[in-house]
Amino acid sequence: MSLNLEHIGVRAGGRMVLSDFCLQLEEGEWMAVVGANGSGRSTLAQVAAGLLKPRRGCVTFNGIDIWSRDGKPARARLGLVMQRAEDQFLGETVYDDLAFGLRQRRVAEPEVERSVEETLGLVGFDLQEVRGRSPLGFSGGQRRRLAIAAILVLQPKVLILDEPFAGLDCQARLDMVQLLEVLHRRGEMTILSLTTDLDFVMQANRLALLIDGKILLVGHMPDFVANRTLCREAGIMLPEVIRLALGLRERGWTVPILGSVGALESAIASQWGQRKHA
Amino acid sequence: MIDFADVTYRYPDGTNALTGASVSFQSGEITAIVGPNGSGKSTMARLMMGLLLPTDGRILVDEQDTRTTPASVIRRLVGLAWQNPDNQLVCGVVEDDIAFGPENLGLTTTEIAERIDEAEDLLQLGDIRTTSIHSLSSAQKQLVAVAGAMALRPSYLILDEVTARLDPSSSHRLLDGIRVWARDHRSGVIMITHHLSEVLRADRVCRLEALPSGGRVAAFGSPDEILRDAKHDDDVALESPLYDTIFRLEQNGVHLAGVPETVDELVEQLCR
Repeated sequence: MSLNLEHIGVRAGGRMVLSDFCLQLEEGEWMAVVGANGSGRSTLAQVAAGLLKPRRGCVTFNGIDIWSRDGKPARARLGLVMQRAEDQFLGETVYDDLAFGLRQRRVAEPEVERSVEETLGLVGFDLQEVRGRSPLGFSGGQRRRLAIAAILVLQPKVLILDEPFAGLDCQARLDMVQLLEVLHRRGEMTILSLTTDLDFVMQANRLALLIDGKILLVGHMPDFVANRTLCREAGIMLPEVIRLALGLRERGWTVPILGSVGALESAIASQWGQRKHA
Repeated sequence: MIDFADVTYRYPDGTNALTGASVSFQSGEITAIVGPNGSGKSTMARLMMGLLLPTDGRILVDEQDTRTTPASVIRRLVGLAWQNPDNQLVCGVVEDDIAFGPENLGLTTTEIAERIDEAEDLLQLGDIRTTSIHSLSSAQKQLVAVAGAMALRPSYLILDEVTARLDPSSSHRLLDGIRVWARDHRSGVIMITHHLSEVLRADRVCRLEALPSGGRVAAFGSPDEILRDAKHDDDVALESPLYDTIFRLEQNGVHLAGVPETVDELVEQLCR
């Protein structure tokens, strides 16, 4: 059920950006699609969000073809957070920016205010503190969260995020992962995140590998480790800690590959000590 | 030299973006600025360019006070390239875009051609010289934007997270080119970055921290000093989980010869 992309074909600039592409998102699932630059990642995001009508194939949401005559309400339940969404603020104040979409939908003002307050709380802001401030006066990570709030306030059922971690420092990335986890755990939200690397995707339910407009692998991190040659050829790096564990194993160390970072680090520390004494 | 003396910048709403910063950025050196979001990195860059003026304290760019010197004078001394090249490319073809700035300085055709050659040579752009900007990848666009800033030959060049969208090999190409450029022209380069490899390639590192009272300079020194002296792995706010691991290994008694830049280097050092 939920969001279904069947045999999608999109042509641009004389080549197929997505070709015979299928992807199925279960309700309440978080799927992370990983694809290098030029793999068709952003096009996929736009197709999944109902912003780009594919030349071939069909996108259905809860069984309804989103491009059919009755598809408009279904499209309205799909929310896309674009790359560098923080460059696309529409209102001069935080309040106006979040209220923009609701007012377009002719929601009554008291209801607008209630929704804005609740959504801001979800992404970690207090309405009374930020109400009249310009969205441009916040730091990069904060602006990204405000931009996500501007989509969340419209209550999408599926949240699609194109490169949600780009340009953020490590702490802001962790904050973003935490925000996505919260949204996901509340149960009502299906999440499709699209990134260029496998860092910060551990919390997703399933991972998919996008190469040249096709999904070539759907699974979990162990599947990606097993198919690391395919990943490398597609320009996708495994997470650094996994590469570290694999590198040490090749040199005869006994370290866990898919355990926690802490387990890997303590294995390294104890074996480093033994090797020094040997 | 760009000299900050006890510089504070306060937003109109009364919150501090940067508090009491006293540091200097030397000609001919590459200085990396690191720190978490909200620690005042971009504010520092804007202050250097005279886009913002200090609320307290003063900034001298080659002995000229940014508060009393016309902005146009400071702007010729201090150049900027930032991430998001789509917002800074103005022409249709790569070489025209690089030439745009120098042409506006009123240089002769020969001088302009020489500057384009230099920038293209240093960043190895030769094969895309006459290519349309629109058909470039975002990494190539980023290199062209930096080439355009280099061609203006500012005394100081600020690079604000320009490698954010580059893969490792393009990023190394850019840094190697910048280093040669800085040496040849005795120019200072200031890099705002979250990348371990860039911090390790800098001559000096300025580490900022975000306090409730605003951003502050926490430490200034060589890359090794700064990376080893940080008390907490988040202090340096690098994008790399590798640095976090190196940091915690050191705390657990694993003493490495230097700070490794890549996973392979870390494996080598551990096996030594």
